Amino acid sequence: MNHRLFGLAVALGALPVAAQATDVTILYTASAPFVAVYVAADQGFFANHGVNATLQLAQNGSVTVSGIVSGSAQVGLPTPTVVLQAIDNGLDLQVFATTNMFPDNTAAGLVVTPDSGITDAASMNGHMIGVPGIGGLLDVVMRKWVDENGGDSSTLNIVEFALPQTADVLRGHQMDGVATLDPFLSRAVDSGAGVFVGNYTDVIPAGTAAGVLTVTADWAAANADAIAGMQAALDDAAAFIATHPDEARAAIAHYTTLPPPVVAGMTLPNTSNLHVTPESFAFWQDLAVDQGLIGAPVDLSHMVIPFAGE
Amino acid sequence: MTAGVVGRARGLILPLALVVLWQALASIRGIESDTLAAPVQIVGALGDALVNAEFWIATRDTVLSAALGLALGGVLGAMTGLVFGLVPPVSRLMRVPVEVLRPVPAIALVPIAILIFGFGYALEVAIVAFAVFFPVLILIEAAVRGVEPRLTEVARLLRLSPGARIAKIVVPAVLPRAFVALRLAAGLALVVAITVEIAANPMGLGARMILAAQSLRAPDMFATLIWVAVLGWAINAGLVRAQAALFPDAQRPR
Repeated sequence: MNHRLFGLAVALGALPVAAQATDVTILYTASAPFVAVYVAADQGFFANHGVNATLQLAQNGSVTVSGIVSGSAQVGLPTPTVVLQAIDNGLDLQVFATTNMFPDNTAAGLVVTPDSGITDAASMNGHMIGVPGIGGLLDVVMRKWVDENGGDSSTLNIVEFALPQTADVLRGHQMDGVATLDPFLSRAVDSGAGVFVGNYTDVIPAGTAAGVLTVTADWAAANADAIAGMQAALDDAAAFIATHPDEARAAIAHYTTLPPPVVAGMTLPNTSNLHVTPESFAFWQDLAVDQGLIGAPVDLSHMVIPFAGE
Repeated sequence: MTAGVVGRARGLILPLALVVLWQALASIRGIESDTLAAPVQIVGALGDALVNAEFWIATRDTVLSAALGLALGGVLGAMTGLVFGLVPPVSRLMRVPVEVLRPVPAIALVPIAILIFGFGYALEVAIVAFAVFFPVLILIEAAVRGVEPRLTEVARLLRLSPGARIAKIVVPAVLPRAFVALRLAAGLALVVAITVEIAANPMGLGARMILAAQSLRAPDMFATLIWVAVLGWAINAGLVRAQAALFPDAQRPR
């Protein structure tokens, strides 16, 4: 009896991608590293794999998790630390792909005012440093970078600022330095408002996931086909980006609404491999535990939905 | 007539001079900022927006959410205020819950409201309604209490039924002050709707403004801001006119 039920379940799961496309709303923030998702939507790769995707722009990442838990969207694009914290707080979330993979040569790093006296991690002690969100990805990685490079992150006066104001807070000397990323970083350095000190993402091991495509476990269980379809679409998008950088930039400009001249000067993120495994999150798990963001390690083998056939 | 126009024009001198100075500084020195823009750029961005369908959809979303929230919160607040004003024991009984809930900033309810309503009109309407409910309640309750005692005596003398007393004495006496409550609440509704859109709800003018700021499109951000100010001004001006037309006897607000 049980075997027959199991057989039925396998047969249902193995049905070819249904003729009827699954409607999926993807909640994203206007961030260039999500280019693979933009391209998969722009070039019709989601549709080719049986997913009718709608990209819904959110003002900031803080509403991503509540957006998918409330059912306003099915897929969200938070950072791994946010997912780990949500799981640690009792939400059953799963991830099925990353938007880009480290090492990522997109410019991200510490930029300081020219007269701050900061030249490396060790000379940062006691200074006021801006981060986009305390406890967020740039904050925790920057602290780790400081500690690993001869500084002491506990002496920093860490405050929040808005990423688009990177150049303005440095020009106005409101802060000694900021943890920022492109396109804001390049604009601050090119205009002379800031000096680049170091790329704190150096501390992130190769093969670590960046933004992650996140769903609730309930939705994942009911929509395995749609997830496999989105994974295949992202593979298509990764291959397309490698050979069509201009179309990729056009997709970034379209979905983020960044001005085209800004997008033209950006380095494209590393989308060579978007497949996730539990190892893709080992760095974030250790970091989250070390910095007290989560109480106990989460079950990564449950959290990660591998690509079909892996 | 001419003197009035001249007087009004004189009021524009300082703001216009500041705008010209701003433009002159921007043209001569150049603006080294991703969060500031020159007036000419802002006017250009506003011109582009006004011929863009999405801009009008955003405007509709904001105004509709604010209006529905105002209607819902306003009607509930006015009815509750009427009951509280007519039946003081109920008002005393409810004082603790009202005074506990009233100071809760409406915007602080956003995270909970997202989980209940998801994104969209319901989220925004609910929060606007919450924000509008309490001021309307308090103003209407005070207005009902303030009804001329002699009118109540007349009602008693005429042996009006409670329904007739409300319809013929209380409501007409309260209406001018209820309209003041409506004007106050309308301004609040627009502020709260925009704030919800800036913080969370991905629609409307607030979301458009914050996205422009995040995407380094400062002229577009200021254009949206100016449009919001124009909307707020137009709504208030419309209500002031309506008030003057409906209640010519009441003291004209300035």
